[in-house]
Amino acid sequence: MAMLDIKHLSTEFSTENGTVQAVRDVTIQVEKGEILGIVGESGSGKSQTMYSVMGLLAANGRVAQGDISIDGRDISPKNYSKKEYDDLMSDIRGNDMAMIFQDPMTFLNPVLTIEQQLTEPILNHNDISKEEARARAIELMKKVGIPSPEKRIKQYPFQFSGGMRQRIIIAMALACNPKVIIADEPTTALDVTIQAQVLDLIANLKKEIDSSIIMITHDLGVVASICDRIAIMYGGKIVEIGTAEEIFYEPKHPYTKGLLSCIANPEDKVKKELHPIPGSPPDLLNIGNWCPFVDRCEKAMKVCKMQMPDEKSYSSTHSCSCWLAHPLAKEGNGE
Amino acid sequence: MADPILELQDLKVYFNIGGGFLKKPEICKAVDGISLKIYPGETFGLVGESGCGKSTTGRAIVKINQPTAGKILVNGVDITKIKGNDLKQFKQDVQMIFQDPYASLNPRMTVGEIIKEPMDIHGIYKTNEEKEARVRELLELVGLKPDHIRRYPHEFSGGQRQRIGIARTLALNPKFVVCDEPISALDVSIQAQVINLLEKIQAEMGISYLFIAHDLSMVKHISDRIGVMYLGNLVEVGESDDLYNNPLHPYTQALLSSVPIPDPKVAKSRERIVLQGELPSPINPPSGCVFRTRCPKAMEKCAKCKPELKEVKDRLVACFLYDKE
Repeated sequence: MAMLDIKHLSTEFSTENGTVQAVRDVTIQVEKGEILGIVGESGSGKSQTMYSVMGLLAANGRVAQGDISIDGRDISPKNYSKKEYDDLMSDIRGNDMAMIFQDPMTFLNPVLTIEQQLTEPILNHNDISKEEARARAIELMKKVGIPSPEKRIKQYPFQFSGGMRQRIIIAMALACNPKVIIADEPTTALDVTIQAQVLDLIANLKKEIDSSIIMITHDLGVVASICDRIAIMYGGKIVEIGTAEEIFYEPKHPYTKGLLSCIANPEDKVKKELHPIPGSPPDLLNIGNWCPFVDRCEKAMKVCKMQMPDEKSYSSTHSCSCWLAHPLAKEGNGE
Repeated sequence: MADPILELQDLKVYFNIGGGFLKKPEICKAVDGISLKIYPGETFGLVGESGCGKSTTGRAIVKINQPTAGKILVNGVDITKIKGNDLKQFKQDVQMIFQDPYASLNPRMTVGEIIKEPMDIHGIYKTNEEKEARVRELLELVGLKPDHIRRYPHEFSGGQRQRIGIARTLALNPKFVVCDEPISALDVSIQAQVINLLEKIQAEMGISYLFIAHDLSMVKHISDRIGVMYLGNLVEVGESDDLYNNPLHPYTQALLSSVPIPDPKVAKSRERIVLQGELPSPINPPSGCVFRTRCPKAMEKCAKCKPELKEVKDRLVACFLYDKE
């Protein structure tokens, strides 16, 4: 059974100008011990999908429909009253499910020591003494590779560099041995050499702790190096999902193909020309119920702007939503 | 070979930090003696981690930061001390594209006014009609519609704003453009649009670029030659393919092996050199070679004296490992 099971999740935000459909009918299963990458551009709904799961949506956002369960336990907001849901989620967050945020500079509280911040989730979710929690915190700091943790645990966040702060945040996420870790662009704010350190750390931790990790990113290089499976999101929908090899070597959706042809691969021997995707991502306010990529797609057909394409499976792991996969489809010319 | 359009000779940019009554200010050595030459029509990529001084170098070239020592020669003229008409001519020839298209455009000016402003300052067109025709031409060149001229920046997406910034840069027909991380604030599918645009403009107008970025794969794609900076020093300069395929300096080797490769088989199989530790502070850099504290191949000599940028094979490297003796 899947560790995290999301079925037909839709999330909306009400704004002055109307309803923004940030996440539209997303279904994902994450298995035990795997790393799933969710790739998409800004505004594709990749972060909001995970915020919906964590119950961390902004005040104007709501989960409109869908079922979510973690390790068999139902956590869909629709099945609970507001109070019940809040209590349930504060028990689950940091315990069964933890999050690693993008910006290590703003996530930590500048006026509390690392000890206070790192022992907080441990004390909240376990019935142990302060000393035990402190010992556990030091052990976690060792695990994420912070030198002389006994000394550094008394320091404040400003005394740590960006890479070290990101390690502290990872340690906080690991504090209660979560079943699912959601990493929202964990390396975007870091330099490449530090990024390599943090990615190595995540890959090694995965072997050790056997949690499921969901990695939200826009960097295809990052997902290629550590993810087992990859989901490509566009306009609030998952347009293609498959193993890393299937996505990189046999992409089916025109958007996936487009993404792969507009990034430079430094390993290429001959300089290849970049083929950018024309136009810009769709406005999720008042978006129609048809393929979100239709306006930028070179192979768009008439049907693409009439109906949402069905999902077609290519293997047990690889599926894609595109009208081109329909047996009657002839490639259009983008009109 | 033609004369270089830009030459840096032992450029140093220091900043005073803190200090006050009875307290000596500390000196941050952001750029600590770099020399390089850029030739007409060439794209020179400058890479390094944050805090290595690559942006400060770019900003010194356009005279935003005043150099502490050293010379900046543009077409053979030292621009650090020029005044009057020479200065005005220099500002026409050398322009800059900024990183953040949300912060570098005035939200209260229309697109037309933004692009026209440099023309007004330099008075290169006499009548308003001429200016407006030129603005429309520029908008078309960067892939926007000429009737966007009366709109405001907030009506555009990030990629389109970067195009407006590029149009403003080109308004004075510059010969040399400093691109300071022009694509790092943009989405992946938009980055390639801007890179292709920069290449197209270079082919049409013969501009030289100094392309500053931390994204090595894009730098390698666009640059003819690449310089690698570490803590205010240039550690290696070479042709971009050579440098990528056969990095000589231990820092370049580590930097290149950290670049994420968008190809799962290659990415999962290759050896990565993961550097230990963090970048030292430029306020108190290590003695001798600045990289020695993180270098896997550091020797005794590295702590004593600083390696010079020397010619090794077909490129320049600052490392004692390649000393002949």
